[in-house]
Amino acid sequence: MRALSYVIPETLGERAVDALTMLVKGMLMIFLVLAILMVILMIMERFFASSKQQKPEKKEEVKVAPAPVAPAPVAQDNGALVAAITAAIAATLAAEQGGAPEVGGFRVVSFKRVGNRSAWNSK
Amino acid sequence: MQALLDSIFNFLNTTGIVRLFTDSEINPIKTIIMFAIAFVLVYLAIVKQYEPLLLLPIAIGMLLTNLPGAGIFNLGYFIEPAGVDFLEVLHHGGLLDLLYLGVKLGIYPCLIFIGIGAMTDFSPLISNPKSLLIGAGAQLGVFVAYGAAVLSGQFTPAEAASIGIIGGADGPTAILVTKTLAPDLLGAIAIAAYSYMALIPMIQPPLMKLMTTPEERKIKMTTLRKVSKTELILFPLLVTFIVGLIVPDAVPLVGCLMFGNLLNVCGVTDRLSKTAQNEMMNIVTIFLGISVGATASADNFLRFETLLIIACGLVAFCISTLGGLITAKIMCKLTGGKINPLIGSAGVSAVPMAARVSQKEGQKEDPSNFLLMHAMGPNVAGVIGSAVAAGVFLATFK
Repeated sequence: MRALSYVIPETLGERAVDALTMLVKGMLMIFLVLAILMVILMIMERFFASSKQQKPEKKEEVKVAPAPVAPAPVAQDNGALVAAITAAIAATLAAEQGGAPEVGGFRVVSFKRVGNRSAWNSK
Repeated sequence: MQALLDSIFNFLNTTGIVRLFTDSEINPIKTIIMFAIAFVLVYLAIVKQYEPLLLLPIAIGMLLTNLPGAGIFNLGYFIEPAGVDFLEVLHHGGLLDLLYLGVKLGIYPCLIFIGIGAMTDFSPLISNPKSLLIGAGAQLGVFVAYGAAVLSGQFTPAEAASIGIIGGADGPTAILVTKTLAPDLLGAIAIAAYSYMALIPMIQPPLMKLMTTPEERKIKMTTLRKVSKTELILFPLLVTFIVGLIVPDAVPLVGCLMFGNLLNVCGVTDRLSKTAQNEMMNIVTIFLGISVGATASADNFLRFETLLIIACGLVAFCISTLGGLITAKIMCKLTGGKINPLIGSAGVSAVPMAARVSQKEGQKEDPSNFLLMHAMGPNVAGVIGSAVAAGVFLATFK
């Protein structure tokens, strides 16, 4: 393959043979090298990719799924909201009884939003 | 008064404009044509943005080398049959003579390959190793163009090899082969190679449509698997080892490419990787472009051979594209339609433009089809393939 063994083609026939020889030799060499690489990459995949790779993906799925389910509003401090609801109920009761709002007599222990829409914003 | 007139007259004789028309060694018409070509390249680089990072330095190198009397570059130093007299270059050479030493000694293409390696993501190739075959098929044009150049009778086999490597669509590879085998053709070959790479979006689509059916172009490929870090690190080491053992003459290119990639993927050399990708790459690109452009002097560039080089380069590019498409088409048939043949055209190097063309053509048939990552596999395989092709030529003719 070295230059020492290479004979420069002179005639058209020799040049045609040289062109064809180089085409076959070059393409064979490239396919050989890249095919060897392909086989080695396939072997490498078996050892370093397949088994170790799938597990983290599954774990990720498990982690992601519960996130939206978490009942975040319950865990929040609803003191201000409870106070506002208590005041509103007291004012309503006082209006019904025709006097000033009384402190005490009832306690808001639980509340739940009905539907997704805020009643305050409904028209 | 006479002394003053003599002084002015002597000064005028030293100006480029007078030298252009009085110096017997300068052909004014050819020089003016070279200026025009340089300005066209500047226009293409700045306005059309065709490979501006390299085309602009090449154009300016071409302009500088053709300025009469500047003496900024002397190709004669580098094509002496007896070899380069480096002391002569160091003592009497101009700026571009000194910068050209990086080309002559094969330093710039290898440094550029370190940067390319650091910037390249080989994971699409690792996750789909069959892409390597497409990258191999897309080197067909290299050897067909070699044959065409040899048969033309105008070039020696070594020169024909330098012309053929244009089909590899890889600038640094073409420069490395040409500086070794046919340094006097370097300007023409580098300009042809980079021009055709810039013209890929125009050259490839008609061939892609010619070689594929609408049904084939609509094929959706399955999502590539995620590549582990171990694979990413082992890949450059294995490629260097295997290619080096089979084609030692490809080691300067493949070794540097894989070294740059290892810097990027190993995770402990971020600073080196960033330097290779940015500062080093940019500096070397400037030196490479301007010194390669400088080889395009009027006498050296404006020859019948240059037209033949440009024609053979186009043949190389088209046949390489066809080779990639044919290989991908065969693989499509063998896999029962799991491979979209459009990714075959990306087997010519030209990263990532050739892959983008595959993506664009695929989306013309089906806007929901995303071929880019699938095309990147053959695309980076083409870089390795063209480096191996260069190694075959160097082993034969060096």
